[in-house]
Amino acid sequence: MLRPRCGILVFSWLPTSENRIEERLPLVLNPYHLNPRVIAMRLRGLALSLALALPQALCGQTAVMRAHLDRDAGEPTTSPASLFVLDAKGTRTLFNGFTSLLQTEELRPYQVPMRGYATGSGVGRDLISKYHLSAKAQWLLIDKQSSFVVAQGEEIPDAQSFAAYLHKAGFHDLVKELRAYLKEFPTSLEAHEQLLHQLRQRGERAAQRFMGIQIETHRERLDRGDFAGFMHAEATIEKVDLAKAKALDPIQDLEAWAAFAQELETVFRSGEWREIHLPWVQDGRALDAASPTLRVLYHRWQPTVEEALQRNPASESFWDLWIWMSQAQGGRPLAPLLEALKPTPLVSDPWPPVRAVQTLFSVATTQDDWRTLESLYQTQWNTESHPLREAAPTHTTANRALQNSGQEAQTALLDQDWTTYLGPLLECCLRSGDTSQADALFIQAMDASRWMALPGKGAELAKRCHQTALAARWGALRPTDSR
Amino acid sequence: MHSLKQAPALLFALMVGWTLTAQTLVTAGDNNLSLAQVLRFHPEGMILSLPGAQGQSLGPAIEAALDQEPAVALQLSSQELILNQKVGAELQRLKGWSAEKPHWVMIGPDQRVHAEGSEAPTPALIFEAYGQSPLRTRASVLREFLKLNSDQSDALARLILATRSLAERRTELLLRPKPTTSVQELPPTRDRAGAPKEALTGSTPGETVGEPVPDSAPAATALPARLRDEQDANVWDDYAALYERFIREGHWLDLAPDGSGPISMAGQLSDSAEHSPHLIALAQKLLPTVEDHLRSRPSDEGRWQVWASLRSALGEVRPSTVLQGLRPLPGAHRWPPAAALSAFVEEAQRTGDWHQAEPVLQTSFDQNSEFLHALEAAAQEDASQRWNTAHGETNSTAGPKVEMGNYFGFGGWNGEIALLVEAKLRLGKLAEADRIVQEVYARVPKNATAESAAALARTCGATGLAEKWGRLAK
Repeated sequence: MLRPRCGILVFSWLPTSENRIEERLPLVLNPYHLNPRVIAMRLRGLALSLALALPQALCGQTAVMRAHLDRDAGEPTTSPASLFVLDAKGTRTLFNGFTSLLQTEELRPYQVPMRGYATGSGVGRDLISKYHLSAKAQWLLIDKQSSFVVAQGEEIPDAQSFAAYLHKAGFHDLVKELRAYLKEFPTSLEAHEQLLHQLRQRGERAAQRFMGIQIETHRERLDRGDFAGFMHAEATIEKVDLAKAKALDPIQDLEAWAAFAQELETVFRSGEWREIHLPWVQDGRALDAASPTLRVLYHRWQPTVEEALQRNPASESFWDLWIWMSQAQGGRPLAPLLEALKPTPLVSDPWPPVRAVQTLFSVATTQDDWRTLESLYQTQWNTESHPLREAAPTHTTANRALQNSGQEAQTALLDQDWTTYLGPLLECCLRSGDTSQADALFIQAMDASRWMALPGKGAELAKRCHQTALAARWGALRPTDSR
Repeated sequence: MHSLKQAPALLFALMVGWTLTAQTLVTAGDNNLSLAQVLRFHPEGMILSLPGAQGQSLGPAIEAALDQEPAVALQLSSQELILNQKVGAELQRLKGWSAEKPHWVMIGPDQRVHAEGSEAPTPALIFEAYGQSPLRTRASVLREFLKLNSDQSDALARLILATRSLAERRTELLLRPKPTTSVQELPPTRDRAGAPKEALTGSTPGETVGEPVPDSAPAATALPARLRDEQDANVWDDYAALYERFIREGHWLDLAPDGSGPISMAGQLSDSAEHSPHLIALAQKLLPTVEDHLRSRPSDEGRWQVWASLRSALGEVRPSTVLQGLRPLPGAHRWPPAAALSAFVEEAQRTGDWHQAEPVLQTSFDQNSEFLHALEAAAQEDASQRWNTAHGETNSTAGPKVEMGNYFGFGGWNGEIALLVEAKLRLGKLAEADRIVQEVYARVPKNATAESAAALARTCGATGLAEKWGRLAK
């Protein structure tokens, strides 16, 4: 029967040497076709873990990673053409100009995908060579098959001219088309999902324009080659200091967010939100706290999300949404929610889900938050196996494989344990005032792991938490038999 | 560095391993595992055994006993340890056993032993000893939990998976020919002197199902055999009630976006449904509900899998009927959606008509080829940047060319390409089939590719192509 219960394990290859592709990343793939969403999700999930464990294996693969994510973004809608902007090295004149141009009222509906490169970059040189262009700064509108240039120039065109180029390339106002589609198929979850996605993008662009700020998404970090930034951001929500931005006035707020908020309200009222993917809660720009419209909407519907979490406490998508809503409202106590949730018995998965705890950590602000998180991290620290806590080799197969792999892999494993567990646990202790517990845990890890890098990492963390004396003491520790 | 290359795979295997209802740590070759670590994943308890000094093993007999009524209802795991490893020695010390005889224990997560012996236990002995212990099966703990938290989708899904697995096993036991040698008749490894006092013998407990079918019953290969009404009710009633609730109350709609996890798995009707008239009727009853939800999200592979599981029980798939009256989302670049591919292929394989499956497979192939080219360009860009960095260049194009080889497996011969080639062959599009095979072989010139393609051509009756492709193999 052609119905796999689960995907098969297939190995993919990433280029690791100059000229030969070697086996690197395994992915779960449906044996009969490659679901891009699955690939991208698995890749993102993997990327975080592997980047922590094996940084050398993944660094320098930004273009390959972009290609994977492009494929993900290609479903289910795709643009008929892409705008490539080539700036002289060290400048972003054309790119910034087009960023403004595409935000104009006339061009906003088209959601033109734009990529910026230096003329001398690999992509820049490839484009110049492929389309026989001069090596000057310029822009190109290229059809989706990359077979021909629809339009090209060295100056930024006016909105009306550029709209004409877009029509020639086959662009449509997707929001208008999706609304028409929904009239015909009102129960289409995918149409609601796409409409929300389009409206969210428009809202983000408008809000940034009104507030005079630019926030990079994870994907945009990757586009400019910041692989580490892309990886780091996967488990966190960017903390954006909106106080430094201009406040949205009520009219701007409505102009930016009313359409998105209305559509979101519609799917919450119908209950369809549970079945809709809301990708911006992972990869959106955290602008929502500046919008009274969105804050009110989140306040109204967050209890509904909490009810859904009671029904499915392990759902990562419900957790992501709850955390996003909480952050937009300036925080919401975690402890009462945790008390109301009953995780499934006899399940060995960590509770709450690791990613939820990591994201909560990234947005924690109050003493209560830190105390609750300390308790969660302490439980994980006590119940799981940790190379930083155990001098003896640890029990997991992966850990053993890494320990057999030499110094580099062992260091990566210790570093991962620090970044994922011990570091956050110590920070929670210090921020909630439990300094003696932090000290005891740190000394225990020092004795067990004898890791040379640990004093430096501990000192840096203590300093960040304004514990100068502790930072000096931890930094001065020297393992007797170091790794 | 060989093991370093394996590490990501192992890490990944652990990452995806959470979907399992119960995990078992493989102890073989591992000298660092402790007993507590082995038992941690078995809060319901498990059976551990140690072989004797002469290598006498109870493992296979215990496995066989756990697979028989009434012990099969417990859904317990067993594992044979090795004496000269840490965990084996720990168990030996715990019980003060001599190394002469083989031993087994029924042990809880707190390392308390509830039954033990030095010869293979019978299914009845295991069942009764478990019943007298404070241990509780996963299914019974989940049922208790659901009494207090009836809306909890994850627990309901896990209970469905547990009941499904048990019912599937019982169906298999009922429909297979009666074994000539029962577990009870296996020759004892040792004398019965060491029989545990906790181990009880007695009547068969009440959880057993109807009588096995006579020896003349059809073998498992002559499917689909059907259970008799009484057997069907005994085996499948519990699962059917839970499954119906799972679908009707919409729990299955909380599918993870990547189609993983217990909720996604529980949403699919049992593969054994074709043996159960009761489940076939249930599939018929639930189909309209599932079809409505599928039509509201036709790009959702998880929904297609649930739908296909019901359709399979009914003996037909027909994915095009679901898509009738729908049209692609504005901006969508393929229709039917990629998620429907498996359903189209399954329909073609059932009916032998590949007309509808072929364009769907072709679109997937084209998209994957496009993706492969994009990856080639991306890999080249990365390699050039690394080369430039290493050589202090900024604009040089002198970097080495990247060879993609069998990237992702879909540059070479794989299941999807085999299906596309089969579709072409079945439809008589021999030239197209040849072009695809030649293209794939040029990319990954392996004998296995040529041999697989030739074998496929022979199966489809394309002897000329079979010979031509066979000659590609060196």
